[in-house]
Amino acid sequence: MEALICHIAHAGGINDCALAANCQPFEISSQVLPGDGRHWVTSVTASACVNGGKKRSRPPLPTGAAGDKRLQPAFAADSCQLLETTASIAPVILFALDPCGRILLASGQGHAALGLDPSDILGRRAQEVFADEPEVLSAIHRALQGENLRIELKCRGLVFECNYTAVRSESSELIGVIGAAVDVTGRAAAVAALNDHEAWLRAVVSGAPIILYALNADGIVNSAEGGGMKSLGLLPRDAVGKSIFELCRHQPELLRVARCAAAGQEFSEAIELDGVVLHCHNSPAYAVDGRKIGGMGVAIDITEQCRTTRTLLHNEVAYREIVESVNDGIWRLDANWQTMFVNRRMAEMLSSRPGEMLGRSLFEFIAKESDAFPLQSLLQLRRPLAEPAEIRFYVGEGKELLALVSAAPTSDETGKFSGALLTVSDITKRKRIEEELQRRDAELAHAARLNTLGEFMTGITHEIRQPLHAISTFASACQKALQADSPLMPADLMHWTAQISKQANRVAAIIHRLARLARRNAEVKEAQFGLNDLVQETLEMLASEIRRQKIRLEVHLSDVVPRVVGDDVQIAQVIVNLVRNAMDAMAETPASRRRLSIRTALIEWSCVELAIEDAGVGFSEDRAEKIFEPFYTTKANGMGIGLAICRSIAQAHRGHLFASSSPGNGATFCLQLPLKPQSDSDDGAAHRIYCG
Amino acid sequence: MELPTVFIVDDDDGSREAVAALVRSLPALIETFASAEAFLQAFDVSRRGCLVLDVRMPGMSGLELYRQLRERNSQIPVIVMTAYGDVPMAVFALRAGVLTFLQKPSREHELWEAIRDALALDAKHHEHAQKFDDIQRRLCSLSDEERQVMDMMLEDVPCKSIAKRLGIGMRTAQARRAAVFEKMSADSLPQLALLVHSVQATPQPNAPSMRLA
Repeated sequence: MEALICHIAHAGGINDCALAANCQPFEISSQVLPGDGRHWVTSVTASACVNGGKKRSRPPLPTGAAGDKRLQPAFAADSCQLLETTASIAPVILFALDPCGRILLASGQGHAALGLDPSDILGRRAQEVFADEPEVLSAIHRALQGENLRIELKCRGLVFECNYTAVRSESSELIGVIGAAVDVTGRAAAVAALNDHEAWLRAVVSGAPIILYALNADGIVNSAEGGGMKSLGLLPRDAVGKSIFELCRHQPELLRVARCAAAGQEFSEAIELDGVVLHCHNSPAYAVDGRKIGGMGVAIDITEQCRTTRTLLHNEVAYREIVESVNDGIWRLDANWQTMFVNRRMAEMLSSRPGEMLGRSLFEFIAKESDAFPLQSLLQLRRPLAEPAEIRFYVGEGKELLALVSAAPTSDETGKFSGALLTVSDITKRKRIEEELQRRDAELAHAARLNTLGEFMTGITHEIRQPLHAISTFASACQKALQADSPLMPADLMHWTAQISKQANRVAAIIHRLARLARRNAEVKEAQFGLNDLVQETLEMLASEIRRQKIRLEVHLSDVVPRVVGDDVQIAQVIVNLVRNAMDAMAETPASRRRLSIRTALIEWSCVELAIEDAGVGFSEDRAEKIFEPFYTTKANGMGIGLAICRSIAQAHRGHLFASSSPGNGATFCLQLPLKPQSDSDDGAAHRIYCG
Repeated sequence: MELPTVFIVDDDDGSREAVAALVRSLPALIETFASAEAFLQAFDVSRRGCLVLDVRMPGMSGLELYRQLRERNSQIPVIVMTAYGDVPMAVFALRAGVLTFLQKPSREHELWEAIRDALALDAKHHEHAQKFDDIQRRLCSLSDEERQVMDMMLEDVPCKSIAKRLGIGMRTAQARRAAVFEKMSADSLPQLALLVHSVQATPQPNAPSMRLA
């Protein structure tokens, strides 16, 4: 019986700390239950209350603990009552069932939590009372089968830790079940929360590229957790129990770090283990008594970051190499146009060194304000330059650098204007070559012009001989008239001498035009001239040659052709060349069909057109462009530069020269010249508002 | 006496006027034309004078005009002028019978002299033609019998033989012989032979036709 009560008490949680605080331990007998480590385990002797349970015999007085004799009388008076009282204020349920499950004993504050009154359920069958709790029913059923259970049951939203103990007679016949249920709802919730938290932590740790570890002083791994283990190809349990020195035996360079870790030194260091870069934060591990027992810490897998950093570093080096090795200057300016960076080449171009240029303003290097004009869209509007600009930089010692500059504004992460990036190429040499080429082009054009003139010399000679003949003949007439006593009127002499002047002027005009065509002009003269006048003047020189070749000349000059701007000599050269070509093209054409048509027209009020059409051999469509290529010729003695020069002249006037033809049907050459030269920049206003 | 005319054909106004001015100092009439076509339309082959002709003109060229004149049996002296002056053309022109080939501008008085010579030639032609006509007329005045006698006289047949060949009397033959001398205004046989020969040897104004390109 003592054992029974002891069971009840034990199962009822008297050994529980909380209960122990409320209930003073007491001792009825000096019997101490074996196997129980608690000091205050109590055994209570109670009268038989199981068998039948109809009457409750007074339990014998408990004998109190040796150190608490004062309380003995009270406990002794009614220890059963005391037990009941204790149970009634503790969150426990003490119960006893007969083999049919009738409740013989129901006591304890636990009932209240279930909304039951112990006095109501006494004598009822437990199966009936807990009919709606399958877990409980199942436990009761098992207990009534004679099974001893220690089980956690959920019942009406609460959790109970239940203890069912079969009570058997001496003949091993089941005579009842006694037990206790302790309300552990709070504890279960705490345990669940703790489990959840741990699972969460575990998930975090196992998902993150880190290793949480603990080593003992010998370097044996006590624990190793975390997703970082995977990258080492290890499962947590693979490492536990192994020596850290063993793990890094292939990499002797790590032994020092391993020793420090095991010794519990504080350090934070990146190591590479089997190709995995780990950043280890190590700290000492202490035992409860403050003794240092090893090291622990966290190792973070930073392999990826290292790779990225390494790539970035590599790129940075590569870009720097590029920036320093290009043959162009690279110049970075801040928002105040001060130098933030220049590459070596840029500094060289300005006879400086990168270090000396840092912090200096862009304008220190631009000799004149006007030289900065091409940069206006950048400086004023903070826009990239539409096209590279030619800018003169001051180099020092009176020297200048002519450079082609591309520039674009830069912005910071927030999109705010932060300065500009300039790429600068030295075109001093290129410019000189260009000028030289230009000069040579002009010389070639000049030579071609002289050549053309030479071809026309017969015709031009004729044009000069005619008036000379008239002059000499008039002069002879005058002389004869004065010698003879002829009845001449002074009016005749006046008329003849006037004619002499007129014809002399005619010669002078022709010679003037010839001289102009033969002029050596390297630069394009810009002057206004009438295309119609120029056509007529030029044709006057060519007319006799045209006549000689029996070519019918048709000239249609439009009345509405405005004056154009350009170099009239060069345009005259184009006309002479085109007429010459037309004549050559008709060399094989029967004389009756030789026809040269020259027309001028105004086209859409934007340009004037001169069309020269012949009735010559023509050419196929695919050669319409080829004929303008230098050194392309179909003539036996041709240089093939005439048309090429004509086209370059047209282009220099911002005009066009093109041809259309079909074989055997003659050809038409069109020269189009714009009426107004286009302005170089649409943003003229920006030029004026520039103030440095 | 009828004045000759200097015809001037040149498309260049200045040249035309200048030549006309020059001719003013010569005893000649002047007619100017700006094209060969205009001249051909106006020209009469019987006109006396000379032609000053420019070679290069729009339309018909000077040399083509010359060829057509020849076809019309015109004997008018022609002075060809050109401002181009290429040698082959000059050679061609002179071979075709052009009197003078001048380059523009001509040397001092060269043109004046050329025109003067041309007019003189024309005058000589004129005189020659008149003489020719005269002899022809005299020849025509002979009767057939007198003509028979003259032909034998020119073959140097003696009078006796003439009479015998013709079967006429000696006296009759002598009378006819005297009539020939009379009608032909010849004093001697050599003179008569010269007259008749000059008519027969003078080429008819029917120049070989030229083909001008």
